[in-house]
Amino acid sequence: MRVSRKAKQMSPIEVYKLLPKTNCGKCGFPTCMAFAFKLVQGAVEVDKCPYLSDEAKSLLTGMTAPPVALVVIGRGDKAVRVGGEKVSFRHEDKFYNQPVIALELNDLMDMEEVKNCLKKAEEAAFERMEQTLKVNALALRNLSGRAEPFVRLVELVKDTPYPLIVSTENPSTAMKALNILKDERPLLHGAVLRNLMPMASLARRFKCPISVKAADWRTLLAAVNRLRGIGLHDIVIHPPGETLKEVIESLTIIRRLAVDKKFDRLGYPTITFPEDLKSNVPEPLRTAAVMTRYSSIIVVKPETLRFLRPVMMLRQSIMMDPRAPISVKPGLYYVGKPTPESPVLMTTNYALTYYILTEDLKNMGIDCYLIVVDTGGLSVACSIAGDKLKPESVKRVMEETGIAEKVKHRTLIIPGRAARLSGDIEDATGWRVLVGPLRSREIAEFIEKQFRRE
Amino acid sequence: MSGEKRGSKTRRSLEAIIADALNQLFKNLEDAEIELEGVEIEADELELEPIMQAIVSQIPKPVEVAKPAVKPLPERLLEAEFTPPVTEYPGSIVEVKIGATKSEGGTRSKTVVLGGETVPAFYTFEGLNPNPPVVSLDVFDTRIPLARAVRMEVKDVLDDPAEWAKKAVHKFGAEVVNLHLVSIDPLLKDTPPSEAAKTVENVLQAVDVPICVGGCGDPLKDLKVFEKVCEVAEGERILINSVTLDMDFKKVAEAVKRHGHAVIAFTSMSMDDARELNRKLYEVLPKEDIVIDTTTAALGYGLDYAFTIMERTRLAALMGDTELQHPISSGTTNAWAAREAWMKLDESKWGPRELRGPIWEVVTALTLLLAGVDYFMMMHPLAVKTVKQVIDRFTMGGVFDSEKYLNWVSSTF
Repeated sequence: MRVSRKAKQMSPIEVYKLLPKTNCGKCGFPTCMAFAFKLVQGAVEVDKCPYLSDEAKSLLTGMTAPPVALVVIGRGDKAVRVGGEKVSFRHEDKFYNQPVIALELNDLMDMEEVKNCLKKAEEAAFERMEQTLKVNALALRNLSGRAEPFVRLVELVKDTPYPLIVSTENPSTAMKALNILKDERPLLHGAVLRNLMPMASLARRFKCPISVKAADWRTLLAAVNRLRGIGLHDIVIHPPGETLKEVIESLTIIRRLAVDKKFDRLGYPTITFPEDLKSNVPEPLRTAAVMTRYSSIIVVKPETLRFLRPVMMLRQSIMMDPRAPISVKPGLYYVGKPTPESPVLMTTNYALTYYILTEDLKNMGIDCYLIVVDTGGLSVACSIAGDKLKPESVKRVMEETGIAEKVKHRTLIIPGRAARLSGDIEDATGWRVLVGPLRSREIAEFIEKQFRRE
Repeated sequence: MSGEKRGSKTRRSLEAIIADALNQLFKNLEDAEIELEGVEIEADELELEPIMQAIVSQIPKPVEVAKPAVKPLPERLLEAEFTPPVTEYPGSIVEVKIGATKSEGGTRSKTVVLGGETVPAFYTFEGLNPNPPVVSLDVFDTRIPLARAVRMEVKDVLDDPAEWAKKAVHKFGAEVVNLHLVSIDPLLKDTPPSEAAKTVENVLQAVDVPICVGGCGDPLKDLKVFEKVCEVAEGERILINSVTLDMDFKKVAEAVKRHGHAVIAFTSMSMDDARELNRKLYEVLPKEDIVIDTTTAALGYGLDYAFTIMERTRLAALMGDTELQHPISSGTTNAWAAREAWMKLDESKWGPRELRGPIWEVVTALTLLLAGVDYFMMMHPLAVKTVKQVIDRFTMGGVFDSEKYLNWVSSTF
């Protein structure tokens, strides 16, 4: 289906006129009018209505499409989504698709080196707050200038779990690579003005997204026009700029134009190679800057893999929904293998609080029960300040989880920062309350000295 | 942007050749919608051979060179179509000057100006902000627990704040010294105000850059010390760090005003708190004496909140919120609160321990730099150096200088 990119924001009434007006309910809403309202809010997919004309579908999809187009790279399990963004500032909504970190491999590397890099990429992955932070794609670069080594590289990595970015400026080399990957939807990177049409025809033939690079804005816009002119809409922009400063400026211009001015010719995800830029910022840290300023795909070199974890933590931070603090389910959690003699600890349901506390408890080898109280996802300090940690909630979780039947004692250890609620919690629960330390790292010693002694 | 007419002769002929070749190609594409618009090709951007190779390899039949080109391209069309997204901002940030030279009644040989922004940070396409962000270094008046990576850098000056300040300025490049009077804490040494003020005087004598003086966080003790410090530093226009909602801010503000200094209004991560404290301070102080700090959290430990509050604060100020139009200060040193910044961890996965702290500090700073921070309080020399270089490069737009390039990846620290 062709999406009308010209579609403007419509009122619910205007949208309603395009709907079948049968109130059949297939969309999940009782009336077509209700569906129209949800469409205008962008809260529901156009496809939920099975009876739309092609024209209506095109118009409505255009209206609900995010100002930064969503592009999918890779297929099936390997697919990653880039773009699909609605705002320039996360507080205005949130960011939808995390920046893809792509590891750069080139065809001058020998097989051992490639394998070694892949191993390091795997090792860079880690779990944090119930998410896996990892490298998401491989960017294959044709540094040799020849086809054979590039094809060998593609063969070598095509069965890895990563979607691929095929980066060469030579269309015939690109074709050979794409022939191997068939319908895997790699991102074809390397289109510049001089090879634009051959590259575009490859993207059409292999139905893969294409990225385009130009040194200045007018050339870039002309190139995007060309691609759209032949029906290519899965476009990724390689923004102009030779220095980190220039690229950050370009990325900002692209996002602002796409979001604020609805300038759809730049409403596409972006790819940057921060380590190739002229900059005095240490390589691993450039990634942080382009990530903060909207780059959808960031290509990093193998040497920086060992510095990647902080950058991936930054990505996790930026991607958090600012309207909803990330939280864990309130309830009773087991740490280690607790027995009826084990201590009972209490904390709030802010995910970071829970995560750090349980990590520390595990590292210290403590077996205990952990009561997690609903504070709307606020940390201990914040929930105390905001009066969101209620002694009644503590009581409720303890009753619902039947902790009293699991332990022989009646002592609850509360966080040091919750000290001023100790009396109230004691009154509400009927348990004796011990005020724990301010830092979770001091809990082991606390349990030894305070809890065990009694 | 490269729009000048360079090598126009070469370009025209190349364009003709390419246009022809493209024309052929288009014919081979099924139901292609051809929308050709003005495409400019820079002659110096092109190398003839690869182009021809690329084109020829894709075209089944030889190109007929004599064919008329596709419809003439309106060369100016695109030029008119690309307008950078310039927003008009009704508000601007006040300028707060720190330090005073001899002619201004002080003894500093350098002063700094914070703020003055008229556009968001590094929206260089919208305008240039007048004052580059300033990087300052922390100096403590007593021994406090410091990460090993930091302690190693300052172990020779840990017991002498004046020497520490000298090192921060001359060796590490501090533009301002943040003296933290931690020892005044009643739970620590409970240093009396007069003695704390003496330390301030020593530091003022040791360095010629502006200084910022911080308390211990105890609202009552800080007030007493700040009053004394303001008095002894009269004329120097120091920056008092800080007033909070839970102290007698009016008394602090009065002392600041009486002796001609400036102050940091420090709040939780809340724009409402920042507005409330500013409103109260306005009763005593002019806007030009107030810097705000909405709290910095470490990378991985709430940096997203800190970033967003600062970004929102700055945008609101530029959009006309008169209670937030102040330079922003960041306690970037808080980056070290992240355990990953200093803990012993598997170095193959987390990077070398000596570099992790600086990385944490720099990533935290870089992120907040983009949110609009004007004043960075930092700790590790390498992080300071890096952030200063970023600021230089970003604000001056100078030529890339590989000599100055810090290569963290290949260097061994």
